[in-house]
This record gives sequence, C-alpha cells and structure tokens, in this order.
Amino acid sequence: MTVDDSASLRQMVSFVLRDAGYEVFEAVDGLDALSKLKGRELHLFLSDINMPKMDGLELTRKLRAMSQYKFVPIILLTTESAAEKKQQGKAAGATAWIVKPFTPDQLLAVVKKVMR
Amino acid sequence: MPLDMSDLMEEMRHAFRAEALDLLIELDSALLALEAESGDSTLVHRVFRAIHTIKGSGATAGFAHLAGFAHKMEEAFDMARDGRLAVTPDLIDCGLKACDVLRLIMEDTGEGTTVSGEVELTGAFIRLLPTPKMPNAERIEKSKPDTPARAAFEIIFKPNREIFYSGADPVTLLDDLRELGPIHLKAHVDQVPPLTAFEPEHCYLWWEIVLVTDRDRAAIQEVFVFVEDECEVRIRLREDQAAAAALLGSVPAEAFELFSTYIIGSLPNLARLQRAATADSWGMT
Repeated sequence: MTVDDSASLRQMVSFVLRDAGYEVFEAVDGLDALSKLKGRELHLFLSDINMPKMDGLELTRKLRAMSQYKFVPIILLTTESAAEKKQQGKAAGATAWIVKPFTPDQLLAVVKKVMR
Repeated sequence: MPLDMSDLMEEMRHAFRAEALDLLIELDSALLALEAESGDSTLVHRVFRAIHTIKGSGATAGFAHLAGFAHKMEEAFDMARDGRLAVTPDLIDCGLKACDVLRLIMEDTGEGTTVSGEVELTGAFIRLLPTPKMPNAERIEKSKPDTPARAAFEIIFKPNREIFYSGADPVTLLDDLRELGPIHLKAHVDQVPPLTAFEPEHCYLWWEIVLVTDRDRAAIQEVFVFVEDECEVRIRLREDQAAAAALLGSVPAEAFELFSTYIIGSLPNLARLQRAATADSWGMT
C-alpha cells in the first residue's frame, strides 16, 4: 500500500511497483489507509510522513499495534534526511526510509532490500 | 511491459503541474487565513504541508529549481509549526510573495532561470530564520590502507531481540550480503532459551560471517543501514586472507549453515525439555 497526499507521487510509486510486478493499493493519508486495510494481506507499506488527518508516524504506530501488520515492512518517504527525523521513524516502528527526491531505481532498490 | 522511465517521468511532471496548481491555491488560502489568525497552529500546519509537498513531489518529478526555491520557505514554516519561529506579518508576507514566485517558476520553461523576486525572497526567508549554529566538524574518516581488489571480511552480526518489530528480517540482510560475494555463515544458537521461555517474536540468533568481496567496507555497512541502531555489527578485514579464501572454497556457494546449525545446536535443549514435559505429565515434578 502506498500512502501519500501527493497524487503525482502516489502515481509514480504505483507505476513503478506495478511495473515490477506488485499489486498496489493507494491511500491519501493515514486515516484513509486504515479504512482501506479491510484485513488484506499486505506485504509492504510505503508512506509519506507529513499528511493531513493522520501522518505517517502515527500510521506506523497504528499498524505496529495491529497483529496482522505487526511485522510487515514499512518504508517512510521523507524529504528530511536529518538523523532526528529518522530516529522518530524508527521509534514509531518503521523499517526503512527513502529521502525525496528519489528515482524509480532507488525506490525499487529499497523495496527489494526490505521485502521478503 | 517494461517501464519507459522517460515516459514515466513525463507523466509525473504532467501530473505534478496539475497538483502544484491546487497546492498553490491551498497555500494562498492558508496564508491569507493566517494573516487574520496568526496564532492558529492548524493553519501553520496547512501551510507547511502544502509547501512540503510542493518541494518533495516537485523534486521527485524533476522540478529541481522549484524545489530549491521552496526549501527555505519549508524550513521557515517547519520551525513555525514547532514553535521555534514566530508567525509574524513579515513571515506571512514572504509566504504570499513566494506563492507568486512559485507560479512564475512553474510557468518558466527555461528550467533553472532565476525569476523575478526569487533572489530577494530567498534572502528574506534566510533573514527570518534563526542564525544557524556552526556546523559540526565533519567526521573525517581515517584513511585506511588500500584494501586489495578482492578481500575477505569478517562480520559479526548480532540483531537485537526485538528486530522483527520494525519489520526487518535478518535473513534479507544475509541475502544482501550474499550479493556482495561468496559468503560463509555460522549461526549461533547460544542465546536461544528453553522452549518454556521462548518468545516467538524475538530473534535469538546471531551470525559470524566471512565474506569475500571486491566491494569496500562502506558497501558492507550499507547492507545494515536501516538496522544499525538495532544490531551489533562489527566488520573487519580478516588478517588471514588466504585462509578465508580456502574456507569459502571448501563450501558450496549456495550452502546455508543456518538451518542445520540451529537444529543441531538445539537438540540437547529439546531432549531435556521433552524429559521435563514427560515428568510433568506423570506428576513427577
């Protein structure tokens, strides 16, 4: 599932992952993502951090509290490369991060790194 | 169908142009509302999210000039939402003028050409921001002796027990190491507790690894970049390079000792637990 309030970024991430053979679900923010889970078996979450209604850190914490998604890799997309922000992501339970801007190849490299 | 990257980027640029128009309307609207209610933190967050998305998605879509200009405004409103910068009329005024500059940059097809007001506004945002602290002296890596073209490294990899809670899986990291070159793994099971104390969501294994690679130490460290705070990782160049090469030569390239070592190591524990369980069932404890 890709979660981002930016339509163009969601489109890019979805294109790249679908072309690589993944099935992708989209959500516009954390709250939308939770409403679309519906008990689906998901193998990866890619989420922006700064979003309205529910940000990526809160979404990460919520997913980690759900037994079905407790161990699913979560990649946070961020423009902030500062160590403090990465620590916040890790503390929330994120698996990895990608710093924007990123290329499709960079996106796939990180996805491949964390996906089983 | 294989993805044509240039087509993808062109589609993304097209999508972003449409999105940017909406974001600029949102930015204008939030800033104008902030003029009337400068203490409203919700509005500050709206401004930040809009400029943050313009910068992040713009940069990813290839609008480097736009993202570069947006950076100082994003920084200012990031500090404002944290309470580290006051929301003053000057800040709001800069923000509103920045919307005009952003529109000009979007319209300008000469990517990189400075547009009217851009330089002045960038300077204005810089003056509004607190004076930055002196940057820490960069860590200077001690120059290491040149490693041979192909070298054997010894790696100790000890994940924290709670590593699974971040969605990480040590096996994927071991697979990443294998992509760097021939590898010999030894899994250690000395931390595995008796079954009665075993937490299935904990990681009890750790590994000694010998890796022969033509990549450098940084490439090996990169494998662990997302888990470096959750693991003990020690990497050193093996002193006895010849022995390392011989060790790897004696093991088939696809061999994985992990499973067999774990099972063999666990057998004494399993036998003891079975005896204890049998004694329990007969009421002998």
